[in-house]
Amino acid sequence: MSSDALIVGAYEARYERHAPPERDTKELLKESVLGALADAGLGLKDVDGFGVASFSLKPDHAVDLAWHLGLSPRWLMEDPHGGASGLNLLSHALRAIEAGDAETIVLCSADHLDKDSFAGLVRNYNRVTAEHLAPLNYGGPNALFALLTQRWMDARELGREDLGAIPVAQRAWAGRNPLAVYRDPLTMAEYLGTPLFVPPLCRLDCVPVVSGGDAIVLRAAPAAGPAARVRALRSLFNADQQEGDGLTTGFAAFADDLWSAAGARPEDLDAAYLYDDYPVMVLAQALDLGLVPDADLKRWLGATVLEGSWPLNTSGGQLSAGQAGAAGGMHGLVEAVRQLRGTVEDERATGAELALVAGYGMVLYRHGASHNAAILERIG
Amino acid sequence: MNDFAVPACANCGHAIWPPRLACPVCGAAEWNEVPAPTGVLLDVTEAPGYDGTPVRLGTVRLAVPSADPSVKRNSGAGDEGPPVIAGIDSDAGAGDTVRLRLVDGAPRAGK
Repeated sequence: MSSDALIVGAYEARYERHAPPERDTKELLKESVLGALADAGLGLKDVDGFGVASFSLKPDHAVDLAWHLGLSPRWLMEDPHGGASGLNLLSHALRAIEAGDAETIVLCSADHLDKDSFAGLVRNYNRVTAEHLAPLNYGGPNALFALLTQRWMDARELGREDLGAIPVAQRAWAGRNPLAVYRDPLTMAEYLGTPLFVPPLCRLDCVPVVSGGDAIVLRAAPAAGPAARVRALRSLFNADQQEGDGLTTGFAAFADDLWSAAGARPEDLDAAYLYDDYPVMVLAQALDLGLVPDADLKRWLGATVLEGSWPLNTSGGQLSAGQAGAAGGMHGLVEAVRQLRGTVEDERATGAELALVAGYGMVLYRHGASHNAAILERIG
Repeated sequence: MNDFAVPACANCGHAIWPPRLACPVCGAAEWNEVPAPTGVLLDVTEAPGYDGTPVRLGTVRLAVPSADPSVKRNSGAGDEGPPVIAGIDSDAGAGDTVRLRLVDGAPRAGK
């Protein structure tokens, strides 16, 4: 039995910078799940499939969380792949509904990481980090992405004013998103005047850690109201085995196949949600997924992104809205679904009918190892 | 002196860093250790370390003699050796040929 799966609800639990210590990952997950179900006009008792991504849920797992929520799912999944977890969960959930393993699936992600737990997470992110980076007296992704950004700037003759187009343009969108943690307007002059703390990166290039959560609801078609349908989704892990120069990513390997399977071209897009832990990764995804006409990055950044006419990361992206741990892998997906279903606040509504969402993450040694991207369309 | 050495695939010669279970090029899972004492510094940054002091870090593309010149390295790596994240001495800059050694278990590179 085969059935189209539709995304019929989405919710984001308020992102919070320096959340109080009593904030709790499970409570954020609960708010996200209940919020997405309410958005879909459904309740917990409708759910028969459940998936979660969270760094700070441990020592609990998906089955613990499902138990706490009173769920008895027929399909259960947990995904540890950080910035790629949202689309990875989605790819499996689509198959589960198509195969009849479940009819109503909630996918959720949330993290509350205080200073100590965040430091512990980055120091022991994986065995290679603990064994080969920590002995250098350094942990965390900032320096690794500083090195990658430097290689990009050198190889593609980009200046800080080019990279700055991403945070500056996204901040303008954040001003229209009440859930974003940084909403004040940001000018290019302010960006260029911000001291470099891990050269060539300034703090505006580094994603702010927040507490928060996200969730979506999938259901077998048909849907009562507007829904998002996934036309195509592609993933690739360990594209370069951490051995390459990082100038080309795993997105390039599946871009043609993704567009072909979606029956669309990049110029058909109404909005794009690219994983923005650092501006250089937005450039990498835009280029490798074919969003940059003639591969002319400088022109695209200046004429399209900075000018603000093109809907790129309309929540403000993680750079302005914040990165809630593993929920960063669902942030763009939730915003895309809300835009497609027409449930965002009026001031940032795009009326989008076709959107791209990309996920990226899990820095194994030098850069992200996980790449996935989906083309979503509005139904109804 | 404790010069740097890396695992090289016993079947195809592909050198890797850090050590892993199987060769990404040919799938073999046996390794020989080969010396890789020098490389080219690709990039450098400076960041606050765990102890609060500034740490200079960079990527060194190792020069590894290839056992078999016909062996093609994996995507992006060309015919060169693997990249190593290392602590960088203050006198070395991007583009320099550097010498690697192990200091307290961590790779360190300088001119």
